[in-house]
Amino acid sequence: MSDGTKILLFIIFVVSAVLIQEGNFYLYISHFLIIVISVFYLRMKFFALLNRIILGLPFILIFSASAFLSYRGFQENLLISLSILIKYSLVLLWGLIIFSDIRIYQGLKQLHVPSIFISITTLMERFIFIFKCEIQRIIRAVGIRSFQKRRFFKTTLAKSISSVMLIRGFERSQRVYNTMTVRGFDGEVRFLLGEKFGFYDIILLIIFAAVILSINLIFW
Amino acid sequence: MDDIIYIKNLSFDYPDKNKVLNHINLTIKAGEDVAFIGRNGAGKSTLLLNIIGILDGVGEIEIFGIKMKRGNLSEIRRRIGFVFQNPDDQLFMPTIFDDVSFGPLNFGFSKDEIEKKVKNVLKIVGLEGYDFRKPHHLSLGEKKRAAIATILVLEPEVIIFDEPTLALDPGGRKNIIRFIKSIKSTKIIATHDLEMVLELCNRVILMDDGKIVADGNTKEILADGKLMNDTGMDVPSSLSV
Ligand SMILES: Nc1ncnc2c1ncn2[C@@H]1O[C@H](COP(=O)(O)OP(=O)(O)O)[C@@H](O)[C@H]1O
Ligand SMILES: [Mg+2]
Repeated sequence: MSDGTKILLFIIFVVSAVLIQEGNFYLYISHFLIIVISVFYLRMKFFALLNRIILGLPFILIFSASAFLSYRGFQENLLISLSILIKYSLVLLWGLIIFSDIRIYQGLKQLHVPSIFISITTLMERFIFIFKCEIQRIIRAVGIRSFQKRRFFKTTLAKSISSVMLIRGFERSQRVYNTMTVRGFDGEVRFLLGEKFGFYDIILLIIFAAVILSINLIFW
Repeated sequence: MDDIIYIKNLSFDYPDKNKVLNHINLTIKAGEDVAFIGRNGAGKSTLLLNIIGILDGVGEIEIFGIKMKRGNLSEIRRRIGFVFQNPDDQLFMPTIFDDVSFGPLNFGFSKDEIEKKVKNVLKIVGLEGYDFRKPHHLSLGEKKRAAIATILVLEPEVIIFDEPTLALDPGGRKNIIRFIKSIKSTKIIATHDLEMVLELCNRVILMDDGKIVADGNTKEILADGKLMNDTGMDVPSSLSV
């Protein structure tokens, strides 16, 4: 399965899952069945999956509890909250399955997302990481030198650090850019594409879209 | 025409510091392994960055007889590799594999070729099976070897190393030196690790304050106590018996 196909499978499923009417349990169940079948089909390790679901669960619970923020009657709220819980669990599960070994940039490239966008996101990701690194370095350096623990002192320190950070971050990214240019970088981030978008992918996508469409038609 | 580097009257100013390079004249021939030594701030890194065309000073530079100018950079960089001082700058992709294949992809190698080369080069630097590790999770020694792999994979005729042993522990340092020694390309190394220079280079260029103050046989220069002291260096212990 190509990386582009995975992204498409994800999008189709998410759109369908999010659009389920509240309380349409047939659709919930059929979406869940799709997930179960996929797990078996892809021979995924169920417990590894479970592990990651548990990590994501708190967020989903907070999400669904937010339904109670506006009051529409207890039963109504419960229904909405429950449906949010289910929908997001479905999306999370599907995401975990689909993205377990995806190479996201390669996938975007395959889907002909403009390469300038991919370049920017890869570089952004990298830049954020560099930024984090530099901050940690400065904090460590400052931590060694200053013994004051007073809060006021810390905030003024934070301000001066952040201005140093900007300059450091800039210089660092300049150096990173240099290391790229000596390796022939000309503005385009290239990836070795994984599997090609082939006949198998098209069939898979058609079947998947058909299944999603028909369960929606049947149970709407 | 076996000059690989020819420099005539090269000077360079940073916006906030003048004469970082001061009328440098220099020729390096194929097969010479050359060390640039000198105290911190002598201008070694600046000179090397001029050689690879990242900095653009006043003067003449020819690499393999090719004039240094914008249109020739791609060709020059295909033939000269540059391993930067800080491997964190050089490794910036999500995985080691992506990092090592970055150069070959830019230079238009085919997919099969790249996969073969990357595998091969990771084996050479002793990082077999590290393909999908994240660069920032490696030790410094491993990072340095990975950074070298990103250049080695391009099979350049000349490789420039900026402070390859800086900040390594003794084991990691020995490891890198042994490894650099095994590389067949012509090596140009900026460093103040003089024991390494003794081991790897047959020619030494001593810089101070933007100028070349001595240029010649490694042992002769490194054993010259007065010269070394005047330029803020020490005669390496293995020579100062
Ligand atoms: N980006 C820069 N901007 C301004 N000055 C710099 C910059 N990089 C280096 N310098 C200065 O140029 C001089 C030479 O630096 P460098 O070439 O890095 O020396 P070396 O590599 O021999 O230690 C130093 O005095 C340094 O402070
Ligand atoms: Mg330097």
